Amino acid sequence: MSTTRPRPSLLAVVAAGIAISLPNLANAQAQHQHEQKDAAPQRAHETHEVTLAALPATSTLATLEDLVGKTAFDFTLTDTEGNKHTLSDSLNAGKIVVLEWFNPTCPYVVSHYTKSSTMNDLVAKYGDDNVVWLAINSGSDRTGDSTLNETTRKKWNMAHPILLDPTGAVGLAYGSKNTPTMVVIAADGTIAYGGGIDNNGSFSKPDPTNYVEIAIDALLAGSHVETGFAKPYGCAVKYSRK
Amino acid sequence: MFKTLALAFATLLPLGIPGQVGAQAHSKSSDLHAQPRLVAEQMAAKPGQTLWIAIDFTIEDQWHTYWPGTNDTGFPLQTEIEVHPQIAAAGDLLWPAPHRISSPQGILDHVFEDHMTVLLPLTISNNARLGETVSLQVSMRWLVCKTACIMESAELSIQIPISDAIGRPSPQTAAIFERARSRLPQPITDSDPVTITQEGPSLTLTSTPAERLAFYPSENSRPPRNLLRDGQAEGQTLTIEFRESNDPILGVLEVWTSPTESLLYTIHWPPENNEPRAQARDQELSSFTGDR
Repeated sequence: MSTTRPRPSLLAVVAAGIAISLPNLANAQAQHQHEQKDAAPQRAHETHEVTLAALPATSTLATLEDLVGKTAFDFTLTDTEGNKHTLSDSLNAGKIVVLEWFNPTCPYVVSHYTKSSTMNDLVAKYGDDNVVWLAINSGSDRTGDSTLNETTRKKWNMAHPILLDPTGAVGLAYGSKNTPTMVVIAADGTIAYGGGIDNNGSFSKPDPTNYVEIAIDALLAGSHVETGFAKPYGCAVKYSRK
Repeated sequence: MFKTLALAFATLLPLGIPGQVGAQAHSKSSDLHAQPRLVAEQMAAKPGQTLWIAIDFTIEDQWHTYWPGTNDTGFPLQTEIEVHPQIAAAGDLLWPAPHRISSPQGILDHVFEDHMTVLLPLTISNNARLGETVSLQVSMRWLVCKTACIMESAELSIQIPISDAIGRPSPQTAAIFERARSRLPQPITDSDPVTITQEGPSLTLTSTPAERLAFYPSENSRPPRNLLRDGQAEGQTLTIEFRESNDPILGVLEVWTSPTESLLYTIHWPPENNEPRAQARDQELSSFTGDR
């Protein structure tokens, strides 16, 4: 995936964001022994380097609520068009990254793409200057099939890729139980929000609170994300039943 | 009726039999994986009486529906109830206790398999006149899952004549109600073999006749920190750590006294002021005097 040069004003915002959040980063990573690398010789307006945690090997779900405020886990996954995506590449380019757990057959996901346009609207709102939006399918059964997901992606006019995680390693590490489950990662690698897309699990609210939009807007404004976690709703992620 | 549902895929609406005089009204469709019917405990009701109606689901093998509690996935039964004419009023639904299911990775839900029977009290006004008929209409939707999930719905109605001749329930009807009532949790009284203590963020529930214990938190309970780990235990003691919150701990405790028999209690902690319990009083006294 391409790395775009951040515009000067964005770099200033990102630099300010990093300066403010460095103490938090240090606390969050107390259990991860690491050193913040000095950025290698950089050209002006070039990217910075964010240190992420390694993806843990686990067969059980992490608790997403407890991951908020901690460092994101780096990963590389391939999407339904065969392109590889590495989380740290996007963060190093100064972007906020949104992870969206996805299942083309889940009624809740179907509703967000066909009855409303929840995800597509936000992807369009932010464009790719500041935000990278990645759908992830951690299903190990037919719902994780590449062709099915790519066909659905086109049918639903999704501008963002669907990354395939058939072993479930990324889903388990992030504690994703439902589709949709959302994770918003700030450009400094901190998990700023994890949980449901909104508070509308019963589809009865005319004006739902979209926690992801609120989190991204706060990050872009350099302000605090008030709601770090909200309980997700949706179908179970189809991890292997073994 | 429900506002336009935001769920895109086909909602299976069965062809309902129009409400018939008598004890049952049920859908004809065999497409539903959870098949509901309305069953009145008696053929008719007297003025001033509370008549119980069972919303009785037969669930296809290997499928399950959800209890309205703390679940990772799932969507419990939603109902809209209408009563005509206004000579009766529907009360709050009574829910039987569920059981836990979890995936190898740790996704945890509270569900029903084979049957889900929810009890609805219909209280007839004292002013109802003999010969009148009450029509009860229930619109409902629910999520039923095997590995995939399907949102289903139904609209059922039942007619209840107001009469002195209320008859007795048939054995089949009586069995439905007995099975449902056997799974209703009861408040803990001083004569029940359950004690509850709190230490810091953790609640400990103890029952000496227990072989096994499980706690099913309600939707609006103070949330457990790790329900998968803490929500059930072998033996006589169950200790559950909760996250900090101002909400009380609410839910259902199941106490197995043998592999197949259990007692069911509603849990409300701390106890409300108008429900004094020996344990709560002892705790107050011991903290006042400094005894442990």
